Amino acid sequence: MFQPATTGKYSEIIGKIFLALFVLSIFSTFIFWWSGLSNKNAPDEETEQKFAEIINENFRRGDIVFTENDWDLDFLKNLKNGVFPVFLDLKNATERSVAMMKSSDDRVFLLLKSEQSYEKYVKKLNLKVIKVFKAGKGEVLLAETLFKTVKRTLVFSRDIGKAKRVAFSDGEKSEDCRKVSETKWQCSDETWNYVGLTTASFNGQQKQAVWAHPKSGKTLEIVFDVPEKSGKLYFNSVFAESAYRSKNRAPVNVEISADERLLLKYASPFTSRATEKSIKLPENTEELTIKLTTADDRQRHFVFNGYLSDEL
Amino acid sequence: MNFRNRFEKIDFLLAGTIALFIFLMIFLTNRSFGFVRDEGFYMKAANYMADWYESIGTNISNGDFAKIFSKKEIDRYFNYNSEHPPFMKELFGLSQFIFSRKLGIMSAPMSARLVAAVFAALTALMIYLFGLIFFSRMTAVVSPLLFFMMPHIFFHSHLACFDMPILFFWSATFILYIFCLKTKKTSVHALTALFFAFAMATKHNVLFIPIVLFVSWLFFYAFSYRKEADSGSFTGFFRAIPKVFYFMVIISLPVYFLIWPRMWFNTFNRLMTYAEFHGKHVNYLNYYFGTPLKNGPFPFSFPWVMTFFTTPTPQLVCFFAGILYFCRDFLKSEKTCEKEAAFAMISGSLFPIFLIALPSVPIFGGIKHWFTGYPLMLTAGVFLIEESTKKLIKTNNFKKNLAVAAIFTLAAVSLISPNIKFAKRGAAFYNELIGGAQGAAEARMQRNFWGYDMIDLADTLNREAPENAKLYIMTGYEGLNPNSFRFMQDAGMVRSDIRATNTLNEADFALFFYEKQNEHVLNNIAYEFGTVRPLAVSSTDSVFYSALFRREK
Repeated sequence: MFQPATTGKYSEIIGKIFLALFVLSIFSTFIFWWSGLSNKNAPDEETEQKFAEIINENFRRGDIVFTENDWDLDFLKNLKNGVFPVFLDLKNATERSVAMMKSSDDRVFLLLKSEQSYEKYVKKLNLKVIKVFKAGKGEVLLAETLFKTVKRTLVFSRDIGKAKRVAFSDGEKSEDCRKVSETKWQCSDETWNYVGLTTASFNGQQKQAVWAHPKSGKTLEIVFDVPEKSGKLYFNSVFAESAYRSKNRAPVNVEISADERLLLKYASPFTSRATEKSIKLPENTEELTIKLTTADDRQRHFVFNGYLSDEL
Repeated sequence: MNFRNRFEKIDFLLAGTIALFIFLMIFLTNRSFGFVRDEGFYMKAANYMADWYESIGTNISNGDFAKIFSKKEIDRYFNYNSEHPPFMKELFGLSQFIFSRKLGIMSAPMSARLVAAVFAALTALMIYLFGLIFFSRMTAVVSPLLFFMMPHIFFHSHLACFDMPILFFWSATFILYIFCLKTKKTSVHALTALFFAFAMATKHNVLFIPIVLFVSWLFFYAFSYRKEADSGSFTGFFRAIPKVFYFMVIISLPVYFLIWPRMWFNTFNRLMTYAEFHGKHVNYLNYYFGTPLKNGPFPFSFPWVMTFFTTPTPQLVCFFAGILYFCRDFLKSEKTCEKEAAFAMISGSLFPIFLIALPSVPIFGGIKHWFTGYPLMLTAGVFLIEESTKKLIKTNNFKKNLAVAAIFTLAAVSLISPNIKFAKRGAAFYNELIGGAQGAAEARMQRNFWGYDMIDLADTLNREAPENAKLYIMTGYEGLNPNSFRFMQDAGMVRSDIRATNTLNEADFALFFYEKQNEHVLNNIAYEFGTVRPLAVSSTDSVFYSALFRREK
């Protein structure tokens, strides 16, 4: 004869506890999954519609959008073309990271789930609020960051359209890339073969960057006029789209010259980490040239960003 | 752990009905799930296997028997995906050879998923038998049904992967070991070892089983078995070792090698490469309460907490109840072999979770890597609930059974809603203890796994994409595997003229599979396509998992 599992004083009590828990779990499953509780925190349709309307009306190129709710993105369905970037990382954002994500003095939109979030983010991100829009149950804040960074006289991602020249050369002849927009230079019919604005992850942080895929046997040259009062160069590069994991182990060789005087020279390492360099510019530099080469261009999804600052 | 019931005539009907029901539920809903990353590799391997079967036929008709098993021939068909043993791939390939190539009644990918559905049915059958023999007929009926009403389980049961088969083999091996302990029949030990050979040829997880069981046996030997007559001497020790362990050497290993022809050549080197691959396995980045788990040491809590939040609460209560039941059995049993059996059940249930919890063990992804012991604790838990319910009812057996049936029916009905909600993305299920999908997203847990979630987007893509359009599939960011995409085309889920690319700049359409670590891809798409407005979104409870974008510039 077998003893039932629940025989014995303690076993009986434990059995009853588990039975009670089981019944409770059935009720909690019913209540949570059948009553709409599982979907109670999503912004309503009106709020989402309003978010999109406000941004569509007030967005100008260079602004960036942050959304507090990073999992219900239905408002995206109503955004106009050209409204981006939209960052989903407001909870982790810091005063500095927001300032660094922007490429200039542009503005920041915060899409907040409720009025209660206002204080928290304005204080945390050190924002100067330009305007507050009511959006259903939520709010849209239009603001500027007060975080003081060095003055950036040239930002490669923002100013890629202002490059003096973008071209591929093979030592004998040079082929200029064609400027197709303020953010893009197309270098051939191959769609990947361009120099232009993108975003990429730099050591875990999304940043605007310049896509600059080199070609085997050619040198990609990007030349900028150096604005006055520029004193220091900051240059960061990384492989986008996990290209560092590629079987192709040919590095991208980076050479940066100021008025033909070599400032920086390195080969891109095969890691997911970004390479971050900074160096003083020689006095009265007029022209900055970035040269990129590779022996094998398969999966060389090379991107860079950085800027010239007024630091001396 | 006592034998309580015999398999009777009615059990043929009950077990057969349940197994058939599970098989049909899995196989007929196959098209609701996109193809996960791993399926892309295994289905490709299945192609090689089907080619191998073809070549065997050709070689036999040519009278060239030696060629069939020559190194050149074996390497040609078995070198692909050699980091995993071949048993499941051989079955996927056989299914493809018969049902797709010879009979032409289903596509190659679906023929692989047919094997998965068969293993789901076998798992249901195994749980039924476990429940019947060690617990009760009611437990035997209820447990497989509750088991497949876990969204993660239901999801993985569809996939032409190794995870559900290895769950079957893992749990069944532990159950068979109890038979070995209790019956002492040589034939049972030998059959267990034979069964274990197929388990080894399915996935390496089970290589831990002999270690776990033998160490636990040693423990029981040291404290008890050695005191038994003639077991304390040096030779007595070897005589006391259960025969199954010897058979694991003399039966399991040779059969394992027989199943894996690639190991017939350069055996040592190839075994070392196999061991090295898994010993140095990469870690898959997982978000865990907002922290990206990138490099070890990993938190010990990870798989425990994930189990806690990804199991529907009725089954979760059964897990706890089951473990407690085994513990009670362990403490209260008078015979050592009963204690050892209970301990084996605890190990079988919890060791897979414990192993992944070790800070130095990489996190390989979702819960599929440690759910192998779920059937054991679930079944015992169901029995404990059944017994407790019966205790409360003081009247006749009919009313007791009615109360038990009512409570489990209620549980099953309550689980319909979450199962439907996550019918297309079971790997993304989180229970109400964390607030469901929304709560998990707020807590910044990994949202989904394996880059498969595009079924909700496929209709729009098929409708909107012009002929020969290029689709960015995000492979570089744990998105869709190009092989998986191709097999989705073979299965008729995606139009065959659409071409997959991993270069965003040349794409006309783009898939975006959300994970916290891949957020920036959304803006990459926006910069390239000129819009961040999706054409279609896949979501559950307003939480989005993936989206489809169209180039607007």
